[in-house]
Amino acid sequence: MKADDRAAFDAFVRVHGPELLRFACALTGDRVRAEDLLQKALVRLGARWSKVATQGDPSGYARRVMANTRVSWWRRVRRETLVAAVPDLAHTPVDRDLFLLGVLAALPPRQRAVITLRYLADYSEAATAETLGCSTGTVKSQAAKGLAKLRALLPLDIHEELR
Amino acid sequence: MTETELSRLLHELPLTEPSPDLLPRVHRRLARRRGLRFAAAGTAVLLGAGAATGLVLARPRDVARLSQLGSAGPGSTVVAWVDQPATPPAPPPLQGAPAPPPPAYPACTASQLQGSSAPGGAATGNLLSVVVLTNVGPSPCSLSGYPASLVGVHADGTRQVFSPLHGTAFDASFAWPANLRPGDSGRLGIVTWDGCSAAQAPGAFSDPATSYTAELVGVPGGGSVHATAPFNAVCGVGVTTFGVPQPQPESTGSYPGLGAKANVAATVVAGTTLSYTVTLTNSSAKTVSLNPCPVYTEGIYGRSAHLHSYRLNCSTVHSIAAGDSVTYAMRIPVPAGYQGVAKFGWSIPGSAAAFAGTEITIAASPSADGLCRAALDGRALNSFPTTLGAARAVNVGGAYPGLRPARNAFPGLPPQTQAAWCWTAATSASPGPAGAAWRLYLAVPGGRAQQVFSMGGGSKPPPPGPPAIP
Repeated sequence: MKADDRAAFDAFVRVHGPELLRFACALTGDRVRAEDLLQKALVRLGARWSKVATQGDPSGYARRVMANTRVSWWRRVRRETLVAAVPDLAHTPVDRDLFLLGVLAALPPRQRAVITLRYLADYSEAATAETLGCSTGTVKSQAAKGLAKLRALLPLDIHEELR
Repeated sequence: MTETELSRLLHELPLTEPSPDLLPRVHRRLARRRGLRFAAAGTAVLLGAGAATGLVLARPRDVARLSQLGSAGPGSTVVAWVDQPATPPAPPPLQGAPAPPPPAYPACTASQLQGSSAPGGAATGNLLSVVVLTNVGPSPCSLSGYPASLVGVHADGTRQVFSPLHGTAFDASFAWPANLRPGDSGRLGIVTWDGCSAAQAPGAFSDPATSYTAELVGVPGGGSVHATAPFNAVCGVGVTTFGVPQPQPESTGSYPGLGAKANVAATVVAGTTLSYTVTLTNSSAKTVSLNPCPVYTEGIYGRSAHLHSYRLNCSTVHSIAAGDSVTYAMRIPVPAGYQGVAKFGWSIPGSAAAFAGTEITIAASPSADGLCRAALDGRALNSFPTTLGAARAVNVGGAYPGLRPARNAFPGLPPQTQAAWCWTAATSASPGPAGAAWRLYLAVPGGRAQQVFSMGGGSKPPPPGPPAIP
């Protein structure tokens, strides 16, 4: 990487790192894997920085890599088992953000990617479909299924109970 | 919950800085990627195949010496593993292995045989003593299987009956069975090792209590033969099957100058696939050609030997220049049925130098307890990277993170006490909290995490109450 490119890349990571890390946290459910995922994405991004930067949306590129990497990780590592429902912690105070990440992690990876892109990265259905390489119909159905599952898992009064 | 509410919840997730070493790590990886692109440019120089065979096992100090000769430094390429099984150098005596060919002659009796010894060897911490059994009778006979008994004879004539392990020494297997015409000789390997703690004591290998100058070998036709292969049983004894010296396996050259160093985890999990690397170092002054492409043998020696032979991945690296190293990715299945200390060995059969070995511990597949312990025990909780108020999240075994601030849950605890719930899905067949195991870990500031509560299964965490402080 040329010195100019490296400076621009480093500045990009400093500015967008927190937001990309939050995106990775939502995809992976925990900070350690999120950092791993972000690192993978940044390595891919850095390898073709000059081209991607010219196209104007390095953040989008990084998110695309993460959303798709995450999906393929889960395809590969099938022995890893997600619990099907969150534990009943409602009677004790629970950290809301962590709880939310835990609930998200209970979704199948594809649904999680769709939910994260649609509602955290604020992608349109079309952009989500394009990013994940699927149809908008799939995005719609996965988002609906994911949302329904989250409704079932999250307490109705999540703001009150989990604060 | 509506889409808008979900969006708001997600956007309220905190924005935190990535760890400070993220950028340096990314740049290191990028540098490594750039290095990879140039890795395939090697020169091929043919090598004369003068073959020094014989000693195939390395004592630990030899391995240590080899390891100093050179290793792949940071940033060097790792050549990928390729799935190219090769003819193993000898049929490993595995359970479920195909039955050996039937003996051609009647079983040898003790009266037909005369015992002596042959030079042994050492490798990967294994020491091999070779018993030679010569057919001195008038008719042919066969030796097959393992010896019926093994009795060690001390220098003073006292005897010790052994129940030896059955297996094979690394690269010291014999072709079996041994069909012996009159005058022919068969072999039996007595395998010992020097990796146990008792062997580390000064003088352990000259202690007469564990040293044997001869042995009585029970043969299949009945009776015992006295032979004179010395061995030291300080760490235990194993025997190979009877056999005859093995012709060289699918041979590929001797690769003089090539040394091997294996980088293997000290503890591996039974029933999993162990990934490791082997670095081949050319310590000679000449380029070593990898044409023909070497066949290597890897083995894990627990209660029995688990040997595999594969061809090296020669698709990108065709030779190793003088002084250079190449690191190869390797994998080997870890036997499921054995736990404890085992030997790991790697070699290019026929090459005098290309061997490596080490001692490994085969651990049981982790239970929920084991996973939690591995993640938490003995570590300061504040070393966990996910920080949320007073509590920290730990994600173990594919479950999702979850915990609650300790001070809220347990008002009796000192301020700043940290708590971590660790929960794991017990089996993939019964995911979910009903099949999960729960462990509560607590650490006071500056202290170490300790488990204070455990609960297997159940759909709820234990009722809150001040547990004992570690």
